[in-house]
Amino acid sequence: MSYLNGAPVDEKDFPTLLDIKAAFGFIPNFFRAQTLRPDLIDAEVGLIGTILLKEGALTRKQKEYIFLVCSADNLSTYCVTAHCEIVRMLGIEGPEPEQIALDHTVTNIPPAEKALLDFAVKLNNHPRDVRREDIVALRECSFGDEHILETVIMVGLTKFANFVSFGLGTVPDFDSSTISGQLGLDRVSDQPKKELNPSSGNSVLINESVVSRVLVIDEDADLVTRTQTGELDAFDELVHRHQQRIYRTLMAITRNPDEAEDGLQNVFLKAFQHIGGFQGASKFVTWLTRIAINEGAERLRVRTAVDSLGEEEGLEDEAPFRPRDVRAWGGNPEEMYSKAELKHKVEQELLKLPAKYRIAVMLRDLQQFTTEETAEILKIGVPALKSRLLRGRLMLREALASSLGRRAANV
Amino acid sequence: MFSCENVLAELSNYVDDELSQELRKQIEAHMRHCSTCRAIYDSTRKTLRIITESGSFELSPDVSSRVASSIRAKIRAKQTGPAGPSGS
Repeated sequence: MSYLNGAPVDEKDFPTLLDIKAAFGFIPNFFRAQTLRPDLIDAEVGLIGTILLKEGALTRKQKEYIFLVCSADNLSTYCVTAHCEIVRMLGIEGPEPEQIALDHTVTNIPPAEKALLDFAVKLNNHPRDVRREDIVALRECSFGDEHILETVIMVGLTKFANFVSFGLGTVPDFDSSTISGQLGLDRVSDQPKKELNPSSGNSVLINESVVSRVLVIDEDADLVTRTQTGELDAFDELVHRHQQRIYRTLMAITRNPDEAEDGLQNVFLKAFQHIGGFQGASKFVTWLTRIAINEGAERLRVRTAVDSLGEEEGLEDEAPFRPRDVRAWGGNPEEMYSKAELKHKVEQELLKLPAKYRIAVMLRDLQQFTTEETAEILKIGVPALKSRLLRGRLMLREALASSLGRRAANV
Repeated sequence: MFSCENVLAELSNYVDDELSQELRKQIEAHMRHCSTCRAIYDSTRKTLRIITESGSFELSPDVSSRVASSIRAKIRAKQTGPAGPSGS
């Protein structure tokens, strides 16, 4: 799939490759061609993360458009096809990405956006002709210096990607249907495919959080590295940051404050013991929460064998939950109940949910893990997690409707 | 045309904004004329907001600092012994 023979790699040995595969469902030829040097892939993924994916002055859409117009002018088929698909995967609204790549000047994007892309094209095609006036013109279109800086860097990143792709001879391999299929992302099956997947391709069910997993930006990375090199204070900070979250995870499983409190210390001691082997394939907090899940499960096994965590797959095909109380909640519960009342009610009802729904809802909605992170922590697929979430949320809504909803409905 | 069952099946994805534009539009078209689905959507959204903002199962500051001190002491005690953070 390229000029060079990549090394025969087992992705499991290379966390970054695993993340790339998790994000796209396959390892694109662009990265596959570089497997002789996984360290170079790491560095590139970091660069892409900071420049393209991380939020800055420019929107992701603007950055993708810059990537497209420059890649098209550089005649990089690989980069154009890959990023046309990525723009669709992200559900970015606007003209067809191919149209932007072909000739952005005839699309209906706003004049300021056109000016930005004109500048990017000029820098890409005639770098020595760029003058101070070009910058002034962009400022007149209300772009700040940060926008301009990011544009320049994006053009540089695009050239980099294009030239790497040329040099390695990477064959285009991005295809939206393949990607969503490999990720196991569902399209609604009882609808004709034609209606749900129009030629615009906007209905591919992949959102930014999936794609951005290519680049796990872990805010704990620095503290983890410092702990690994023996700085104990760094680990103290990790304890401080994540104690609350781990306590909640343990509560979700054990439903017992004493067990959760006892387990808390064990989780961090185990994490410390094994942190040398943590390589960043997932975020540190995901890894830590997984330790907490095991700790909680172990405690449950000791205490009782009755409450199953329901972690096995294949138990998701119960009949759909049917809401019974469908009266409208007339107002906002926050305006009708004190914070303490709401907290008490939520805690009470969460603890009544069956384990597998309770744990899914507490990780996703109380602790705010993303859907993908929650699925990873529970070691289940995203569709299975979504089915648990739907049921758990509806059950909780029903339980709250009988008390919170009643007063709200009577307003 | 989307049915109430279709909307209910996608409700969680809709609340999480994890749907394609096409599906969103179909759900929104359905909800414009279905007050039941509208009520279920609205109360689900409020339920999730309450859960997120409830601060449920908060660790008390006392327990938090007690546990943190105990962990501190234990990992420092280990460091004086032969094993530190291992590569296992």
